[in-house]
Amino acid sequence: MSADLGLSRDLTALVASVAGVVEIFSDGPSLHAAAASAAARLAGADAAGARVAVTRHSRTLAVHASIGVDSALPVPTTVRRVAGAIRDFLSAARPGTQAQVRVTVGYIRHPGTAGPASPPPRPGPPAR
Amino acid sequence: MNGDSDGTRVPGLAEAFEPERLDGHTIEELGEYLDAGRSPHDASIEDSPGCRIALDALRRLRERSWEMLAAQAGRDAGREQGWIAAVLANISREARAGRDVPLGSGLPDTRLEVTEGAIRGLVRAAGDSAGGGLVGRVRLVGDVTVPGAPVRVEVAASAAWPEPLHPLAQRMRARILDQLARHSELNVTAVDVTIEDIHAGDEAEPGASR
Repeated sequence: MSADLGLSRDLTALVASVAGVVEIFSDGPSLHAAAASAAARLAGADAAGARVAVTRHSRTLAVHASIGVDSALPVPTTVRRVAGAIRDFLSAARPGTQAQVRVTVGYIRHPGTAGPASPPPRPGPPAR
Repeated sequence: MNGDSDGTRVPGLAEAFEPERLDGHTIEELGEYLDAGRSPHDASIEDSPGCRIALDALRRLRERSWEMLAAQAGRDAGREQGWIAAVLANISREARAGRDVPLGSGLPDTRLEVTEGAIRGLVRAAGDSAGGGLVGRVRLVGDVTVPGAPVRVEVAASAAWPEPLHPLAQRMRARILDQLARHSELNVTAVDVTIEDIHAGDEAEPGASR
């Protein structure tokens, strides 16, 4: 398993644990995501549970979380908590690493909205 | 269905060639999935923000419109079917991600945003929740990608007879403004609600679905 895939899994678990987050979408709208997924398969790595996109550009780490949130909490509050959690985690796990963090809300769940019939299991937050 | 199990699907590309599809799915396919109780789990639908927005809107449309239109369907079925088809097309179009609407982060090298599709879904849900009517179309007019730029929200809706139209439009406007203020940082200068259709259900009461 590559280091970035492991980091993606840790960040996916972390983001899923933030209050108000109801879904983490694969970073679909990106050719890079498809290429990264294909590369992971070629390397024999299992990309399951690694939904937060982690890519490297020279010495900078780029992190992108595409999420769904619950409208019970203000969306800006939830998004800032997610970004803050990612930043705190990177500072602790990868000190000195320059990182660009992007969080996109693609779906807002409203009261009375049923979820998927069999939602995928949500992993717990990672140990730092 | 158009799954992405091989991990090579590029959302947006399929729509360029099949504009009626939402992340590879037609609105009819999403309706059938909803009918089946969203079971078995279809990752290509559940992992698509656009499909999730459309599923929520479809569910509300079915719950409310059946109540609203049941009495009239027998008398003017063709008109009602045309109206529903137009709303379905709008749901599919509006659920697409669209532009990125920024949120202030206060942190360096940190970009936060909500998709235009999610905002339109928020507006549609808020309008539908007013009771006595249904949102048919939502447009965000203005440069939503620039923080602070003036944005006007245009909503076309249908009312259930004998719902008083002016109070209905006021309720929709108030709920939409409240939700946008809570969940976005848009500079909303106006919410224009236009009631374009009235559905004459014999048994409807004003605000009955409120």
